[in-house]
Parts: sequence; structure tokens; C-alpha cells
Amino acid sequence: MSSAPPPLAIELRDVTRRMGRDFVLRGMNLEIAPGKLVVLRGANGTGKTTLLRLLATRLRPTSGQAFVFGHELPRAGGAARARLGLLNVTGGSFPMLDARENLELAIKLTPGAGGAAAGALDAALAAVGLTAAANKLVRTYSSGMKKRLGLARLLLLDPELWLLDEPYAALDDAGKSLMDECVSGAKARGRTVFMASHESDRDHLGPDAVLELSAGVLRLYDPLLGSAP
Amino acid sequence: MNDLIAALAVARKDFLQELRSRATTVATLFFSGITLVMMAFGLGRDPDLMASAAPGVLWVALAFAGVISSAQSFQADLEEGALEQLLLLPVSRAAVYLGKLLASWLYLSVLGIIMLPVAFALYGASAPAETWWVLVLTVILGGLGFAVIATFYAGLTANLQAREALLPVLMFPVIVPVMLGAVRATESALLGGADIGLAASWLQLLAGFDLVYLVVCSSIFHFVVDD
Repeated sequence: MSSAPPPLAIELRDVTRRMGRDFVLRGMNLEIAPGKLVVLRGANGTGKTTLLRLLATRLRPTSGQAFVFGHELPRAGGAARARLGLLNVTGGSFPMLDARENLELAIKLTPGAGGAAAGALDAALAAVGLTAAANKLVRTYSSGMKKRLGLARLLLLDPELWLLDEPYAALDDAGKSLMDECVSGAKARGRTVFMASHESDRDHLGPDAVLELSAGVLRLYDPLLGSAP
Repeated sequence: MNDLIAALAVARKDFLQELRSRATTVATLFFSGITLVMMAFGLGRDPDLMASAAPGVLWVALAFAGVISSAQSFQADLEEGALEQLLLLPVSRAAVYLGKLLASWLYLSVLGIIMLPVAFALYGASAPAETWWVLVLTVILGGLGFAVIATFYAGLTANLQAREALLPVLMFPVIVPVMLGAVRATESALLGGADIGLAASWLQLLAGFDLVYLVVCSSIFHFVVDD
């Protein structure tokens, strides 16, 4: 008796996405198995954020099919959202709330996370170095601190799929090392990480694949040859 | 149960944001006050005309305040991509809508209860003591109707560049039944006596509109905030 294989963490079948008159994503096919770390490269404006937002259920494909852990988007978007988290460029926190309030809100709005102990929240803040600033309004934070708070939210909720949009942007060297640790830790815990990044010196993370997005098309990236079909 | 907790959490967030920024409080109090004063100048010196116009002017001022408070509620969330992050959490869109509606409703109700005596004093209108509960109930039900519609359309226009212009254009035609019910119930309460029965009828109609709009708007809010 054989059991069905677990669904892919990410599966795209001939996905296109149009923004206005332009196709940002064209006939995109992609399969990422659970537990993999995949880095997405590409110049500005090539559609990396669009792809991540599509996977995060915030944009629907113009055509084709997209699945997250077998949940078709956007039809089963709610089920997909329960298993993914997105760290966007700005961190995505409410400026007029403090760090603790932002994390408490995320817990209350995540079914199943309500039991997260106050200790877990404190631990997440400590892990990103925001304990001392936990009760300050986010609007007083620097860009790097906002990014760290977004990272704390990911650590606290620890979704099965981490979608990271330029995770190193605005971070200092210590922050970049912290991000590396968190990404490595997530992979070690079996999480799938799909990361759009311009950073070319993060090879020590040992990604399972590096993809390049160019003109709306995904290619495997070969550091010696450049993009390969 | 999860949706209720989520809605209360969203409402609490909106309250905290407003308590700290006071952006909506300052704008709506100032705007409502200015509207009452300007309309008083426009109506002239006829005391009877002023008194009879009080309910209409009060609700026009509250309607504009409702536009400002709902738009500001979404505007605050758009900063730093926070609304997007909120919508990425596995929470139902109806819960997000109800949370924002709850905050807006309570805010408009408090504003209405503050503006009620101010408007009556400015326009020389007076209500029999036994009808004040009708006036308060009218403000609560009218505030709910405004909040239901304003929150929905504020969400619809939140990501549009011309949102400040579009929000009242889209919202005001839909709000007419609520406006009518609220103004008529206020008028009837001011007259007192046998007209209290008429006020009760208008309040029932207002409650009916509120319920219908609430069910429809909460059911289709996901079309508004999702792509």
C-alpha cells in the first residue's frame, strides 16, 4: 500500500500575470518541494515582488494555475494563507502600534496561534534584538528595525512557507547575519523558503536552487554561465 | 468565535491608532463644527426655519464626518504595507470588515452624541426630555448605517489614487435611505408627543436598512480587498 506524496510547497502551471497592459509574468512553470530554500534573482521591475504577492494570495493569476501546498490560488486562498507568511520590503507593521502590539495582533488574527505563550512573543522580540524597543511605536523605528519586527512576526507564527521579499534590504551587517540565521533555522526546521534577493554573497546559505526572473520568465541561474534555460 | 476575536482585535487596533494620532478626531470635530456654523449662516435669521433645519444639518455634518473617519481608518493602515500584511493573515475578510466597522460605528456614535446638543443649541431647537432616548437611539442606528456603508466603500477606494473624490461620490447615493430614516426620526423626536410613534417607525426602518446593508457588505467585502 503506497501513500500519496506530500503536495509541493509551490507549484505554478503556465502562470501569467498582467499589470495594466503589460505581462509581468509569462507562462511561468515552477515546482518547489517542501523544505527547500530557493533564491529568486532579477533586476528591478522584473516581477519578483509580483510573483511573491501572487504566491501570498494578494494577486490572482491572469491565467494558469498556482498552488501552495496543494491549495489552488485564489480559490483556496484562506487555507494557503494559514500555511504561509510574507516578509515584505517595509516590514508590514502598523506604525501607530508598538512592536508588542503588532505581534499580539498577528497572534489574535491567526487561528491556532492564540495559544502562543507570552514567552514566545518575548523570545521572538529578543531574537531580533528588539526587546528594548518593544514598547515604542513602530513609527519611531528605523527601516532596519521595521524589517526586524517583520522577521519577529515570521519567527513567532513560523509558517510552513516563508516568502521573503528583499529580506536584506535596510539591514545592517548584524541584521543580515541575523536574517541568515533565521533563514537557515527555518530550513533546518523543515520550512520552505522562497526568497527574492539582490544579495549575491549569500551563497553560504546553501540554496537548493537559484532562479533568475527576466522579462517575466523564470530560468535556473548558473553562476558560471549566467542564466540557463 | 475566531472571527469575533479577530474583529475585536481589529477594532482595538483602530482605536489605539486613533487615540495616538487623533487625526480623525481633530478633522471630524473641526469639520462637523464648521458645517454646522456655515449652514447656520446660510439659513438666515428665521428661528423657525433654523429649528426645523437642525435635524438635516446635523446628519449632513455627521455624514461628512463619516466619510473622513472611514477614509482615514484605511489610510492609516496603508502605511508601511500594514494592511497588506493584515490581509495575509488567515483571518476572514468579514472579520476585518466587522472590526473596522465596529471602530467606525462607535466613533460616529460618540461624535453624534456630542454634536446633538451642539446642533440644537446653535439652531435653537429643543427636544422634550422624554424623547432624548429616541435621539440617542437614532444616533446609534444612524451611525451604524453610515459606518456600514462608509467602511465598505473606504475599503473599495483605499488603493485608488482619487479615493478622496471617489469615496463620497460612491457612498452618498447608497446612504440616502439611512439619511432619510435618521433625519425623519430626529424630526419626530423633536416634535415629541404623538410623533414619538412615528419616530419609532423610522427607527425600525433604519434598523432594517442597517441589517440589510450589514449582511450584504460583510458578505462581499472580500471582493473589495482581494485582487
